[in-house]
Amino acid sequence: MRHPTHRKRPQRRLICGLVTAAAVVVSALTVPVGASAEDPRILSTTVVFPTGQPAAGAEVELVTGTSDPAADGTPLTIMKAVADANGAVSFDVPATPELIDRAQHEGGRLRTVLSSTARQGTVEQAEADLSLYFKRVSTVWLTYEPQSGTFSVPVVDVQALRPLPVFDATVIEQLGETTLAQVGTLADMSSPWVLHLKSRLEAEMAKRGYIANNDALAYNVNTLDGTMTWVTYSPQTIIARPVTLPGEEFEYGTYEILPMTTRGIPAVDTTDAGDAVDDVALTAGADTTSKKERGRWGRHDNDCFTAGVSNSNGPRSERTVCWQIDHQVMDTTKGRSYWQYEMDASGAGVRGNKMSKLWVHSRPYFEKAASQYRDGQNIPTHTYSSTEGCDTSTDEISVESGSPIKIGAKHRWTRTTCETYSPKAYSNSGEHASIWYGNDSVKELVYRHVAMKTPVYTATSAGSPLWHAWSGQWVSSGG
Amino acid sequence: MIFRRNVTAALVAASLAVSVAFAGEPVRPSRESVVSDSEARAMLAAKVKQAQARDVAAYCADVQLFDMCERQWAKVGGAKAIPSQPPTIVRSVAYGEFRALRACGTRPDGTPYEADFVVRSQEGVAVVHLAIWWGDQTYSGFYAEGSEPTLSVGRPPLC
Repeated sequence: MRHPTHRKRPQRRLICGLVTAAAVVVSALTVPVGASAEDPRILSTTVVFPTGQPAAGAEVELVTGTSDPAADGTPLTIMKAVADANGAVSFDVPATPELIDRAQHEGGRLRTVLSSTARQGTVEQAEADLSLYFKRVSTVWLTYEPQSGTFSVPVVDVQALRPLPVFDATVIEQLGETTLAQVGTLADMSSPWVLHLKSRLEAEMAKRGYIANNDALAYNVNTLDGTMTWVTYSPQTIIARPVTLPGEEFEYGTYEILPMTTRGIPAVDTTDAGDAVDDVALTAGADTTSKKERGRWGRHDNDCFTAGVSNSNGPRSERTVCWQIDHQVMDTTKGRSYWQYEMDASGAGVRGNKMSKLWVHSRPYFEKAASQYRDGQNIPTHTYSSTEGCDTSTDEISVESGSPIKIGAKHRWTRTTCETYSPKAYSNSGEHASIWYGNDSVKELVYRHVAMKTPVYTATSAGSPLWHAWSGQWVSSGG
Repeated sequence: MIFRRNVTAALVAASLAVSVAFAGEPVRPSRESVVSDSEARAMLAAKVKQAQARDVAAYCADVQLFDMCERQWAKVGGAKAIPSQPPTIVRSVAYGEFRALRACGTRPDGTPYEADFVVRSQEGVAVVHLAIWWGDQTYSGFYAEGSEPTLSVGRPPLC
């Protein structure tokens, strides 16, 4: 398609017309279109967008004469234009002797890069949507045909402006200007351009403050469709602000973050051999629709249940586990919600079996719910054990924690010294365990009790927190 | 807005996770006898009367899970939270050797409560398992190893 209004020099010009059309597949074959008897070296190229969406206002750049990345290819022409209301844009590129020489020097092909960048709506809207529009780069190989003196475009492979939402289904919290996005699983990346891209992206993210806590980023790039999985390990979160990165700052593809999947994380190490292990997992979450105010805290949810280790002869142990989630009401900290999550369990061996370990363990359900931030110390925070022999005694530990509001109670902890009650902290905010490590003198039907309280806060806009609530026992025969 | 969609998606996903958990049904593994409803109500009546003495040590002394009893006693608000009136029982359900009475009422400060008073039969003896009938803890039964506990999230209150 020609756009005569752009023809400043009607002769010896290469015209690249960019038109939005509702086509689906791009493999527009335009060989030599528009060549005329009057001017055999004028060539017009129509590029079809695959999205079917008009790209009005898109910034399109045409760089002609670049070589393969591995070669020294100084662009011969660099032109920019803005798509019109129909999404069309044209370039008037003179088929200069330099272009012809470059094409002949590079085996008769002239590499031309056509890149386009577009945003929908205003930048503010884009930021609000957390959408990110990257430049899409397409390579157009212009083949010089000496006999006719024309350039032809055998295949135009353009995916055009495909706005990919970044953080879609992965943003788990909006806290002020901070967005937490969870991502996970990655593949190795090794190609030079991916490494280059990674360094650029990482540098840009760091410069803009989108990366915090020295999270180690890693990437998985799908070279077929150009998508990139952007991942990090510990602490399994990327901290980033809602971004609309200018597309022109990134090349070679589009990027998206995929959601993290975390499966099979053990509650507490269960590698000891010989003993039967029960590690029941459930998901404990807050129900924000049924607030009951109790004091300055709204009770949200709770439950108790009994579980245990069994074999063909019946139960070998049992424990009753209770969990409870409290949500602070009348909170005055704008944008934050405060929660306290408690678990406790009383367990024992039964039918001649001896309990050798008992624990409760919570892990934030990061994949599906709001991120959690520490709001004080998990309770208990200290290991209780004895160096003075084994005597039954009563002690107290505090199970109150959290700020700005503290609730809870002194817990009278009846224990037998030489037993060990140990807290276990994890790097994830909100993940905590409390473990009783057993005592040979504790017989069947002698109950032991473990408890913990985890105070956290979340971004109010992020919804309610959820926890994987694990508890478990080890038992061994005899006793 | 995509972000809003994400939040919604997270909540939906959370709900789904909870819904899945609902699929688990309590196992009834016991070869023990089940405490009858009338026996359980009698045990509750005795505990209601005993609670008026407001002595946590005495109250929890004969409770099987005495640590949990003392902990829940304190969490609910201590002695001052004990209602003077007996609760209304709205449900009696047996989970194997366990039986839970759903107790409803109002604490002295005017806050409503809904809790399960749980008794069990162990080696032929009926004992109180979860004793704080004026508390907030519900009970969802016995689950065998590897089965999925049921959550109370989203369950409508019975009181």
